[in-house]
Amino acid sequence: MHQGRHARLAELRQRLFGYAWALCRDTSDAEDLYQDALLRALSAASAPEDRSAFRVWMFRLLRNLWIDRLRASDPAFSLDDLTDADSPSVGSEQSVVNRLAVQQAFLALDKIHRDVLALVDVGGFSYEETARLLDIPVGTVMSRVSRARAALCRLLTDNPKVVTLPLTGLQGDGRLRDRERGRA
Amino acid sequence: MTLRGPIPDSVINAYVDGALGPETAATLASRASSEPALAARIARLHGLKAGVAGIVDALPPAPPLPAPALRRRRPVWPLASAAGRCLR
Repeated sequence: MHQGRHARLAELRQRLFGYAWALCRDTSDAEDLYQDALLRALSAASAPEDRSAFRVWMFRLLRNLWIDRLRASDPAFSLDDLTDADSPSVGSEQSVVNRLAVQQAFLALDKIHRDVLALVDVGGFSYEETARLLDIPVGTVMSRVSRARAALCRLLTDNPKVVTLPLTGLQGDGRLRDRERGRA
Repeated sequence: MTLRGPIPDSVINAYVDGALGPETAATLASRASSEPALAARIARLHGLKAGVAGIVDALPPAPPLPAPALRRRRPVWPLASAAGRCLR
């Protein structure tokens, strides 16, 4: 076992778990994905020494496992499904944002938008790191983040049910997820 | 990057994410100080970012990492077995 790798993973674990949850939208599935990723990371023959490269490597490992699971549950799934859709721009009509409403609306985003926003906002990755992790140009990260936030904004504006749901905590509240199943 | 005319959403998002160069960021901040609509868009994006980032705080603690394994000792039984065969 690599002691240094273990210590680095300990530093990342809450953000990594947050990213797993953002992808899975379910605490139990997120725990499985997170544990699987940890075990693979700890048993990998080698890992990047550089701190930034290690974070990218670890989150990418978890993301690849998530994609494997999607493929296992849906043989027709491919990365081509993760395409960007145009969204209207973010307006300036409301400058105060309800944080819990945002988190519930986040659950209704498409996979591709949850993915990129979770990397930037939850994982704390820069655009350059996110581009490396997703293997896309920085300009694509820039436009994808913009579209993701515009979609989030649209959900908050167009779907008042999002903000009137009882806020019982993120875990275990699958109503919005069930309602939106099929969108992502 | 010049910032004349309407500023694209992607640039404002990059500003909120700290992804713009210092000069461009300063130009955008200067414009926001005199354009309330732009300032409101920035504030809204900051709110969205904070909301998503807050997911980490809203979740239960991440499950602990597996404890680092102690270095294993090489088992002695294969040697004992080989020695036993030699003595037969």
